[in-house]
Amino acid sequence: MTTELSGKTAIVGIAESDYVRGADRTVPELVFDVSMRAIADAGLKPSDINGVIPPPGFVSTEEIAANLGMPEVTYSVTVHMGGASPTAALQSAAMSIAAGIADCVLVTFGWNGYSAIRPRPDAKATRRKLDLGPVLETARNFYIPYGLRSAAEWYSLYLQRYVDLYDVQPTDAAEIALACRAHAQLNDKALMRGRPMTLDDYLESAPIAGPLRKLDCCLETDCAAAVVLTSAERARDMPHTPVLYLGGAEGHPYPADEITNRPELLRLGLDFAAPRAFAMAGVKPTDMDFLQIYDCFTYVVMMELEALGICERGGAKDFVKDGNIRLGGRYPLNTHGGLLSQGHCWGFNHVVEATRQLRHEAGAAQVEGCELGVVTGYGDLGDGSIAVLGRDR
Amino acid sequence: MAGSPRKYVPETEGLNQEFFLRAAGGTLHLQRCDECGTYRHPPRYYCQHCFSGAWHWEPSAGLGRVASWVTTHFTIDRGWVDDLPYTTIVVELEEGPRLLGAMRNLSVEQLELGMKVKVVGETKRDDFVFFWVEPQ
Ligand SMILES: [Zn+2]
Repeated sequence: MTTELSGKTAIVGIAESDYVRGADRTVPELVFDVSMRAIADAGLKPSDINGVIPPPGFVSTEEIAANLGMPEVTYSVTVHMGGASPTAALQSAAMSIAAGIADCVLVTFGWNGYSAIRPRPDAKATRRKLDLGPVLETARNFYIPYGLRSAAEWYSLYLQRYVDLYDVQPTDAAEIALACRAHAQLNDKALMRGRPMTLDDYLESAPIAGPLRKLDCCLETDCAAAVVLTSAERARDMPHTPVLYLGGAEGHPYPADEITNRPELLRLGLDFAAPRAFAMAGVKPTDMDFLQIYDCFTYVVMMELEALGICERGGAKDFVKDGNIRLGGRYPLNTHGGLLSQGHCWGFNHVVEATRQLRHEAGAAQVEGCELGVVTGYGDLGDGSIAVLGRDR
Repeated sequence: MAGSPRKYVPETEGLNQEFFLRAAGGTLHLQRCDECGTYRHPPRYYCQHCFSGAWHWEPSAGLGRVASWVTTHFTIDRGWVDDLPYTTIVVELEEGPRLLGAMRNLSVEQLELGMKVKVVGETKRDDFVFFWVEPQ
């Protein structure tokens, strides 16, 4: 059924902002700028765009259309899956194009993740807020009163179980932090460029919650990114090699709005989504040439690798060893530095990097000759999303 | 501690508020399905097992076992800074549902999965009860 969507649409335009702590521009300005540049990257004008998928909060379709000049929007929707939203939004964009409802769809995200989440002396707060919606209802009543206010604390409710059950050591999780930091050294836009990390740095970093140390956690960042999708047919007349949307899916743990009463504590959104996405794409996880994995926390990456089926449950600690996830290894992971070392753009930077890789425009981080790659998203209380992307031949 | 920011107490509504109002009366109550007898938490409008919308509140002694716990060493919650490090315990109640509460009269060194504990409520406002987890 869903395989009808495979290969029918493509990413044709990409753009990302700088990744900073304390942006001098507002979130809407950042979003308008990356949107304008992604549209130009596709060789299009704003008036060619008739589908818009904005982030959940911060800025609206109406503002984007009015500021950029999109006189006729035929499709707009917002995905409410926290950090899983951008990658899940690709599915919605592909569907709307394949169904003939929109021709060219802009998916964009921007936020003040450094400046607005908690008070900062060096950053100015804004009114523009994330719309967490109903997710917060459970957290407000049953987690936050206990001082469990951040994702690190919420996710530790299952990450602690994961490390205990599979005997995952800090030196295992460190492989992910170190790989992302090494890859960030090749990226001009990475917040942590010029700040390499050693295993000792990692092991000495301060404890946060559950199994998490500071260097297991992603970077609070102000940033924005945008991509444009259109039909594969039209994409072949555009400036860049099309990057085909071969498969994708979203998945939700059950119940999605509460962690502790799930019958299977370690079965998260991506466990549901990944098999569907690979089936749609008609490829196997082991066919991937690179992995752009949503890395809010190192241990979450390990659980995602297992959810993808690229290694078995509990197998990620071996999978990440011996340079396997470094550039030059079999499965280079987060070749841009990821949320851990480039910056936190809700995984939209992963989509942008995957597209750059498959265009063969990734510079020093290029995975030579890559044809297939996977991007994952992860958010709220364990929602998951995935896109399997391929270079058009 | 004088001058410290207060701990967060939520504005409650709907079924969650009913849950807290019951607990504020002095006894923890859990939702139980009228059709199949399954207990549930957090409060829901329909039974996840038989989909019945008929249910009632049933008193609970708050007895259960440790299902998991998390120790927080760094917090962005200013109301909890003075309590660092603090440990939050997930209790699997004898009725089945799991409930989260703050560790009291226990140390992390003593904690073991499956150890017997009890949940004790502290009424913070007539429509919100904070739960402590103590040894039985
Ligand atoms: Zn029932």
